[in-house]
Amino acid sequence: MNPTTHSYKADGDIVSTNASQHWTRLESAIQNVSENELLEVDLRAANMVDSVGLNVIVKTIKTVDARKARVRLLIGSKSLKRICTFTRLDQKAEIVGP
Amino acid sequence: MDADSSTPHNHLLLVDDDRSTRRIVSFVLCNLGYQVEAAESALEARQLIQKFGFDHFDLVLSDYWMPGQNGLELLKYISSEDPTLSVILMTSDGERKILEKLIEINGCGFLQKPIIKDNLRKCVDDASAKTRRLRHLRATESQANTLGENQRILQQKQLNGEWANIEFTFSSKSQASGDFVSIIPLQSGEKVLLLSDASGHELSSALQSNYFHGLARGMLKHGASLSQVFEHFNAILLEEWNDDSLIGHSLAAIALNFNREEQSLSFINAGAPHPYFSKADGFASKVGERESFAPLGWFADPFETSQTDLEPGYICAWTDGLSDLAESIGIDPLSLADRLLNKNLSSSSLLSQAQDDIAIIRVTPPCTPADFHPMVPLISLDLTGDQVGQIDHIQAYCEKSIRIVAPQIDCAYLADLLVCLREALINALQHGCQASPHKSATLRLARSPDLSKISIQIQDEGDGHDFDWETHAQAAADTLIPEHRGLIMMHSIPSRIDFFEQGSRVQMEFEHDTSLN
Repeated sequence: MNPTTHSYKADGDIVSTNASQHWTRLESAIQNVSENELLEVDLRAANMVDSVGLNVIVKTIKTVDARKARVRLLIGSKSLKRICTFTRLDQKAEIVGP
Repeated sequence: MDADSSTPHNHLLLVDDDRSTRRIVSFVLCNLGYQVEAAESALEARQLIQKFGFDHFDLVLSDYWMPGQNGLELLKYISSEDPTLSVILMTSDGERKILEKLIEINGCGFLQKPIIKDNLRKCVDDASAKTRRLRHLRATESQANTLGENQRILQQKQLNGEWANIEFTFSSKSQASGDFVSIIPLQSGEKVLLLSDASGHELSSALQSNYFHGLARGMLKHGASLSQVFEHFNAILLEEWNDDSLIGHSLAAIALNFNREEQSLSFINAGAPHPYFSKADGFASKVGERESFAPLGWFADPFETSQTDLEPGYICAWTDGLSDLAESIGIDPLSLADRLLNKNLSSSSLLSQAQDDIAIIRVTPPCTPADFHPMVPLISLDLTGDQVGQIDHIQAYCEKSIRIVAPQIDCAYLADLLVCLREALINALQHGCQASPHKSATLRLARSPDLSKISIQIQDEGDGHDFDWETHAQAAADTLIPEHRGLIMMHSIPSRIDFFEQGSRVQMEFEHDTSLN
């Protein structure tokens, strides 16, 4: 049986100058996530996620993890996928992408 | 040119189907000093024009209503074949309103019948003077085109003849340009590269700039120093500026003097944009210290002199038309210069946005070995710590600057490069400069000659920070700490990264398996 999936779709890059706005919206989405459920963060519109943006994702993973739920990252850019690998986020969340 | 109608050179073509009108008007015009050819129809008028040529006539005076073609059709024919030849249409009062409208559209004269002698005289005098003015302008334009073409050819030949590794491009907004570049070899073996930009876009600007180069050539070959050349020409312009009978000119100029023996570059700048000097790594900095100088012709002694040691690399210089265009597009002038110097990419749409003439020159100093190809500078930004809030703007500036040079660049490669640039620059501004407006950082970006590599250097005034990235990377992964993720990216993404001075200077290289284009 598939877990209940909640989703958050980023409308573009997540970088230092808009990270707090993304976090506000993500936080709302996380409120609805319960144990064993899945939060799908759609980053396919993002060409770039900088370190502050990555921190938003890290914070999302940690908050969702505290709720005993999981995060899936949908990625459209090879560059972003490499970054998730380099920064080892792929060990903490499921990565789906190119 | 004298517009007096009484000279015997004024030829007029009179067209009217009414014989008595032809005779009377011809008589009056001959008495006024015109040589008159008469035609009874538009068709005959066209035959006379073809027989004598358009330039034979100063004016066509034609009735409107005639059998066959009317006067308006004759006007259209003349306007399309020779828009400089003035036409006056004659008609009676009943048709006046229609004709006035048509005349407004076609810009010809109008004479109401019955014709009054004084009106006739004024009308033909004005119209023939207009023809002469337009023909003078046409001739001037043609001469200017020839001059401009000669200017382009001479510059290219002169530059290529004097310097093997010189890249030069030139674009003018009018026929001839006030921007001019030349190389002057001195008896000592030194070479002087002279770039000037006279104010204005008219022919006199081109002459002014060219005169300056001729004067400089003569003075330098007779042993004068560059300073003496600049001082002398400044004095000439200052004198001209104060002469009410002439339109004053100013001239921005820069002279680069390459001394092969001393491996040094001395330069004088009077109102021109700073030149840039890069070494083998392509990281370019402005040559000179002060931000701006007045051009020659404004004040006494307005120019800057300076000297720097030379190494293999590039010297790039340009006129302010390039700086203005780069600013309006939102890219670095070095990138725009690189794009405009690239003969394999069309730049016509870019140049169509230019508001001014553009001359660009890029040379390798004489000490550069012929088989050595330095990195090519693309971006040189000096920033202050408080600009960290403008990071999106700076990133966009860098992205546009790279894309203008490599329009087909791979998006993932560019994203890798930009995220590292962003991280390193935020570190430099936020931590190295403590976001202070009083502390500065530099961003330099260069490409390899085959565009297979882009390198970035970012330097700040801070003390640096010792960073054990292996330990921190593992900690970031294991415990999801928020810190150091940017540095981890900078370590992992580039083909090569080097830290100097405890990390206050970082250099990254991004290689691509194929050329970026």
